Amino acid sequence: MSTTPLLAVRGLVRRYPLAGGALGRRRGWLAALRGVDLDLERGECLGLVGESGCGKTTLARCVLALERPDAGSVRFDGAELTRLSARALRPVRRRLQVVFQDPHASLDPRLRVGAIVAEPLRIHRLVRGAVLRRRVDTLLETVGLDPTLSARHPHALSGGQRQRVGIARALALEPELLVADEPVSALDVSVQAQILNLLGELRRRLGLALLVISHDLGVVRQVSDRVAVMYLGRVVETAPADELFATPRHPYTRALLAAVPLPEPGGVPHPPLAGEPPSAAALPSGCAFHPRCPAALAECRRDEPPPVPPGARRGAACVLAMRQESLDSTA
Amino acid sequence: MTGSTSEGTTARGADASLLHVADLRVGFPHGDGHLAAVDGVSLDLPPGGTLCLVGESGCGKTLTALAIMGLLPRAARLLGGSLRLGGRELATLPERERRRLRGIEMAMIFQEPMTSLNPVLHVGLQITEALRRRGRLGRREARERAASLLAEVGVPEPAARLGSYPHELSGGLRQRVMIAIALAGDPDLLVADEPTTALDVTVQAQVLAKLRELRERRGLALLLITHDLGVVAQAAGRVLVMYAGQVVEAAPVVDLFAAPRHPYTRGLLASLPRPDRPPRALAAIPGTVPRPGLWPAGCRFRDRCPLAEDACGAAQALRDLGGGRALRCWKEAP
Ligand SMILES: Nc1ncnc2c1ncn2[C@@H]1O[C@H](COP(=O)(O)OP(=O)(O)OP(=O)(O)O)[C@@H](O)[C@H]1O
Ligand SMILES: Nc1ncnc2c1ncn2[C@@H]1O[C@H](COP(=O)(O)OP(=O)(O)OP(=O)(O)O)[C@@H](O)[C@H]1O
Ligand code: SF4
Ligand SMILES: [Mg+2]
Ligand SMILES: [Mg+2]
Repeated sequence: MSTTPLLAVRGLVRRYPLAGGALGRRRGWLAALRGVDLDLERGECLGLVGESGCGKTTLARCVLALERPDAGSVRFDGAELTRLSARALRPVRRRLQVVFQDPHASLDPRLRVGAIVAEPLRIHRLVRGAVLRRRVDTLLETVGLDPTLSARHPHALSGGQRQRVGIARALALEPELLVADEPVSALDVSVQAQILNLLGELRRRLGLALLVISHDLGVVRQVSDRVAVMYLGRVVETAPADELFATPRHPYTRALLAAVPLPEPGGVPHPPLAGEPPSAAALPSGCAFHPRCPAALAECRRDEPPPVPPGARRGAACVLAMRQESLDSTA
Repeated sequence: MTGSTSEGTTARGADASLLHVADLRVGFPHGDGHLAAVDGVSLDLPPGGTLCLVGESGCGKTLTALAIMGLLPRAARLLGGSLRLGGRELATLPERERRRLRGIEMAMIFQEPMTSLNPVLHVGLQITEALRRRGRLGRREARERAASLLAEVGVPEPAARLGSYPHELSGGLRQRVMIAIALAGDPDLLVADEPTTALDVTVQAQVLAKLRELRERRGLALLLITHDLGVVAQAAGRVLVMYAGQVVEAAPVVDLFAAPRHPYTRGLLASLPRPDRPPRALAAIPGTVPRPGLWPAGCRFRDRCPLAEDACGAAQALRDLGGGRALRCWKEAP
């Protein structure tokens, strides 16, 4: 057994120029990722959660080598993706596939379902003819679709069926890692559950590793072995899923959990946080969460807490949480 | 068949209600006739009360709300039913009169505030315009009232914000501005269609708390539309569960969660992944929500229902179960 994780992200930084100054000159930079570390083991499911704009999709795009980071490294099975040429990336791309949020937008409306699922196999010239057709049928069955749907166009499918087609296409090349960016947020609740169950089943059957991005904490708990919580371009807490949901340590994670309206009457939640996340273009000093943090200390305005060490089983980038941890470990 | 029992509040409901809707039908032209996308919805909302409409995409929540507001899209037709606000029938009211009511007796907020905010006018102007629906107002006074409305809905530095354009505001602030505009005419009824669906959870909690507070302080009645059962649970009041253009279950919110009666309601609750519970195999409802025109005859949930049997092929009426509950499924004993 090798001990290198399937995916190791270190110190990832991605900035976007802010346009809008006079004559379209740059006004500065927006820091979408500010030093992200992540590990993902073979066959593991890592859930990535955080509010809109915290950098989840940007991180996914860097992992998929769809975007070059400004600094940091993305290692997939030991290969440094940030330095590979487009050509050298091709064989890696096969092992690393993606499912998007909106099955409407991500499927070519002119192609039939069969052709959509066959496309990656054809591009990589893996199989053709009758073998290809059989392979497509098997893939459709794998995601719970009737192979007779091959002849349909995406618009003649329901949202859940379209998302299944997207997953079948992603599975065509037998990837080792599937990145799913908000895979169920466009779906009805009753259909969401079908897709979540399917993702769980595929993991068990195919030994697939998953990076699942969602703003829905219920979804993240349902599918993840481990969870990373992001805030303004950083991972602020990471822990095994059970522990994160049972004993969240970062004040932001606690607030997120407290804000979810549960399908249970009674406890009308008091809004756990005031205000909204500041723009990534105008970051607060110190801990980026301090202006909203109910527990902030004077030092939080000044000092940025150190990131969770890569490879740590659990940790939180918060001075209070770190103190608590050291108390716990001496107790 | 529908409308015989509206939702367990019929007789008393009509008098005590601020809003009384009976057997509402809304459709779209189809072939020689119409397809009813809202098919016999009845509801009652007392002054200062909360009523939630919950259901999956396409079940007719928004069309119901738009029919109440008199804002149906051009293609849609009001096929039947009665809509009463404060005892007055709206369905037959001339458009001019309805527009007046929209300013001062009823107001609506939407999921995406940008669709109803004017992008080229600053916020202050949009609020003062709405304030003037109640009558003439001097410039200074209008500004002051606009700023105090923004303060009331929780916009920080309200006076300074009057000069902001909608695109300069965050999603949460935009939704607050929408609420301020809706409140400007001092309505009795606020219809909120997925008001927090586009917001982050921490901001959603703020906006929902604000709506609760406004309801209590102003005695506002709230018709809250959502697909999120969590939002319903925190809203209190009553809830109507919709499926395929019809109400399938009606109950006080607390009772619905304590003992859901309709197989669809139960299915929805069982399919929810929850952050407060360890993962489990989710009991997904098979199939998908059918579009209007593709609804099965008889019970419209029949082809997805785990309890379905031959008798479900007969049309199902919304039966009054007593205790403020009603159910559109014959299998459940009262
Ligand atoms: N191509 C781009 N150019 C400029 N800014 C960008 C670009 N892509 C993303 N950003 C900015 O980077 C930040 C992170 O965006 P990202 O899409 O990664 O967030 P996210 O966590 O996926 O949010 P959401 O939950 O809304 O999908 C945001 O402030 C966003 O506006
Ligand atoms: N302009 C239109 N033309 C034809 N059909 C329409 C039109 N607008 C809505 N419909 C249909 O009417 C039905 C009810 O729509 P409505 O918008 O009320 O659903 P909803 O419950 O609000 O769903 P969502 O949760 O997606 O907002 C849908 O099935 C929709 O396809
Ligand atoms: S009437 Fe029959 S099919 Fe419809 S919900 Fe009841 S048991 Fe299910
Ligand atoms: Mg995203
Ligand atoms: Mg709607």
